[in-house]
Amino acid sequence: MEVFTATEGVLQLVTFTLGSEEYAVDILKVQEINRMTDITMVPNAPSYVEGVINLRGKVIPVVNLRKKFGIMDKENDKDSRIMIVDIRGITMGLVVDSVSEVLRVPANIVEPTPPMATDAGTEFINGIAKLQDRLIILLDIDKLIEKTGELSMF
Amino acid sequence: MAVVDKGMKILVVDDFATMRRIIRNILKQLGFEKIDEAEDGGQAFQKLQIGDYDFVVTDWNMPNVTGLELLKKVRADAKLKSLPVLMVTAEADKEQVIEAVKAGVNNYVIKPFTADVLKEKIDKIFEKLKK
Amino acid sequence: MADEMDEIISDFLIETTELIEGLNQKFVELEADISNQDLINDIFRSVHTIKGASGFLGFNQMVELTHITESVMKKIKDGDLVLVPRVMDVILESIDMVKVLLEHIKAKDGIEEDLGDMLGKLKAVYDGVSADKPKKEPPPSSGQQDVFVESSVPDQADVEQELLAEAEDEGSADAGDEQNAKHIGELLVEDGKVSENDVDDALTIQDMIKESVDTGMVPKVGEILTATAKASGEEVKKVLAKQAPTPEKDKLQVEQTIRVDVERLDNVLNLVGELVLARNRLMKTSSGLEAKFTDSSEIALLAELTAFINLITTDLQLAVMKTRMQPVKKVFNKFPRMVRDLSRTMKKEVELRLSGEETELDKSIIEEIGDPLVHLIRNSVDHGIEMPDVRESAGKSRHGMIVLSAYQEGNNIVLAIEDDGKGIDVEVLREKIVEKGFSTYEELERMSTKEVLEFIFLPGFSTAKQVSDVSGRGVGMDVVKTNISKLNGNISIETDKGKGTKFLLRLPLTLAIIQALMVGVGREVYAIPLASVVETVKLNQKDLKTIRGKETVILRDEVVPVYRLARKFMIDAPSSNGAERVYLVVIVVGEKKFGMMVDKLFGQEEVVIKSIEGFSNNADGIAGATITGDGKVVLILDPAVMFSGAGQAR
Repeated sequence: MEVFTATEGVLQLVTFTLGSEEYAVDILKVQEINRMTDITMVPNAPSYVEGVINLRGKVIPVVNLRKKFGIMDKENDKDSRIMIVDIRGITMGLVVDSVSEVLRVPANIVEPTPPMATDAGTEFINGIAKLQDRLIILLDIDKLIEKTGELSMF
Repeated sequence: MAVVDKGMKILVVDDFATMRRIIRNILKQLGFEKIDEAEDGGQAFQKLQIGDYDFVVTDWNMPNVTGLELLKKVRADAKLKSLPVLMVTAEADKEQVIEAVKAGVNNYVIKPFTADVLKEKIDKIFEKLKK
Repeated sequence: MADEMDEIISDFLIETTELIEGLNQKFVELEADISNQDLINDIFRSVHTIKGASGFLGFNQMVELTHITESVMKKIKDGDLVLVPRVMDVILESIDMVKVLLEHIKAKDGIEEDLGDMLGKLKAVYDGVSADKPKKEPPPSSGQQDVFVESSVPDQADVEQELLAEAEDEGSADAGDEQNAKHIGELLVEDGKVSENDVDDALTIQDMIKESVDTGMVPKVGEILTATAKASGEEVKKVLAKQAPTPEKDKLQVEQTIRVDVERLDNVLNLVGELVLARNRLMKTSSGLEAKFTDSSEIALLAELTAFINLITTDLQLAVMKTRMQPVKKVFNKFPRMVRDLSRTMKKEVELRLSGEETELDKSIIEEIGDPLVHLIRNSVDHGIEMPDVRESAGKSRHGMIVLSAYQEGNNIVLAIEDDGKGIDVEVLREKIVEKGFSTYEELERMSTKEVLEFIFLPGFSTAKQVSDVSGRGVGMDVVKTNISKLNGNISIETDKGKGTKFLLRLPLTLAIIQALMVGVGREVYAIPLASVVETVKLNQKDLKTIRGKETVILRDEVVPVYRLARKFMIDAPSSNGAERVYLVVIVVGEKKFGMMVDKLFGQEEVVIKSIEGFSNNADGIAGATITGDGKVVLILDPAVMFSGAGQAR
């Protein structure tokens, strides 16, 4: 299964930051990007589950990617965004430090993940895109809930 | 061949919605437009008394009021007695056919049938009626 | 055209699945009452219907399978085959195969199942009995050449038929048949035996049969005539007698009822849910404005309109809910017969009394509640009620009694199944629990009777030993419990050794909208379903007593254990930081009371239950979420889960 949609060898990505690193997901996975809103905490959920929010009448879970990847926690600020994604049919929000841009990169610049290269666990990483002065980590967000079906137990 | 009025009002009676839809679809293929449905003989009879239907296509085996009972009611009704009725069934059971004819069915068609078969049956019914 | 076909197939799948589901239920009933002609007819018709539609849609395997299943059912219907368990097994297996085929159709995978084995079994059932009972039908096959049933004509007619057949044979075959037949017809008419009309009819019949069946088995006119003459007797009279004119009332019903896709109703219900939320927000905004601008006439008007919309919304909501409500009678009705037949098979004397059949429940609940009730009632007959002699020697009447009742209790509907049988021996149950390794005596020692009884609902507990003829193909109590929980309901047992057992099912009126008490803990707000709230109490923390390490409070001489919501949910809140003034929401789960300590009470609100994406139901006492007037998400607590065995352990 293709994780990233490549049209004529070009990947369309949404990039965002977490701490000092730049990440990207396939644009087709992203439904919308929202400013921070009130998040209702869910008791006894895994720590990386920030809570649930109201997305136009739908109640969806929100995952804090910093916590999920074990990056040091930080207060949400005016740049923080909730990226609404669709993972295996489940709509959920991902809290990120900021959303940068929509980027088109040639598929052939993506390299396999070097071990231990990033903060995020390698299991979520699909590859690394090397641009002139940037390294963008391509996330395979399906894996976020694939591993243990964690979300279904929170 | 007899020319059958494509504008005639047809009542399709079957307890299985999918079957009604299939028959309706075939009738549409044949160019019939005014098609109404009923779920069983009882409902069909009520509809027949109110609306001016020209033709009835009914299943035999239905709960409550069966196709045969419907046919008999139709034939016993002063207003409806000459209404043409085509019976649909899954079996060519001889005794069934005989019973239906005794009860005054105009023709009989066995599932599954094609649009052509249905057309032939309808043509035959109306040809005969003209005589 | 292709779309039309897709739609028809999807209709077919839905409708057939419904039929099959209905069939399973009917088979369960039929198993208890193998001679129930109505049920046999129903089942026969369902199979017949599936076959008919499958033929049109070109599902050949389905036709093949249902054809022979239908033939078997026909034999049962005609009394030529007795529905012994072995036969039932094969039929049920074939129904399961129908389901498998449906799945393939649904998946459009084009996979063909190997039906050989199944068809062989069905055929064996079909043949097996016709071997020892020389009877009408030849063995069936999917082809149509076999569908003719040789008419068994009475003796006198037999002779006549033979004569006719001979006469025709002389005249010879198909081509000349019609002419020849006319001869015979004419002769018969002259003889005054039949009328011209009859001959006409016979010719029409022959015609039709010829057209419809492409086999050489077209019956001869003479045969048809005799058979027709036979058919004209009593049978016709019987059917005619049935034809009494339908009363006017029915006519109105026909005209005033329409069938609506449940999906559409669900959609309307969802929209009303949204409307309720919007209404709530509107009311909040309006009252805010009213407080701010006391002498604005526009605001006053807005308030008035808001109140009006509030009323309409409430009515609309009720009206929509009502479209989905059905009386429990629909489910209850089948039980008297079931109990009667069950008790007959088990040689027990049991009477089933129904009450509250008019009580209404949401359609989806009605649909799901049948199986659990069947199981519980069977259980009562099987394990509850004793044999008549045993009852007598225990000083009871020989006649056992099961009462099945339905009544509304607040926002819940309660269904109760109560028997006056032997009750559950809790000591024996304890032994069984330990024996099965579910717990130890030490642990059980600390549990209340109620908690011990809860073990009955654990997976794998009730199933093993209870398989008797009656509970046979049944499910375990765990499945009953799971099914009830899925409906946001709960089940509890009360039992009195020697006197009887009572199962109580508490079900929500509707699955979508509930009354809830909004409470505050720290900065968080939670909704507690009002149905489980007994009262709220203002409390000074100094009044808490600790009994055996557990915080309790005494309310009107009753000791009520206290749980701090803040602690349970690990929230930083005044109530857990020693604030004196706190509130206690007293909740009843089963028959037991618990006090839930919170910081604030915000009052009662109508909330629309929403599921949380990716959230499975077995979570930590969260029943779902709702969106409040200000657009925030509030979690709805599920006291039943929070205070059930597992919840308390934390």
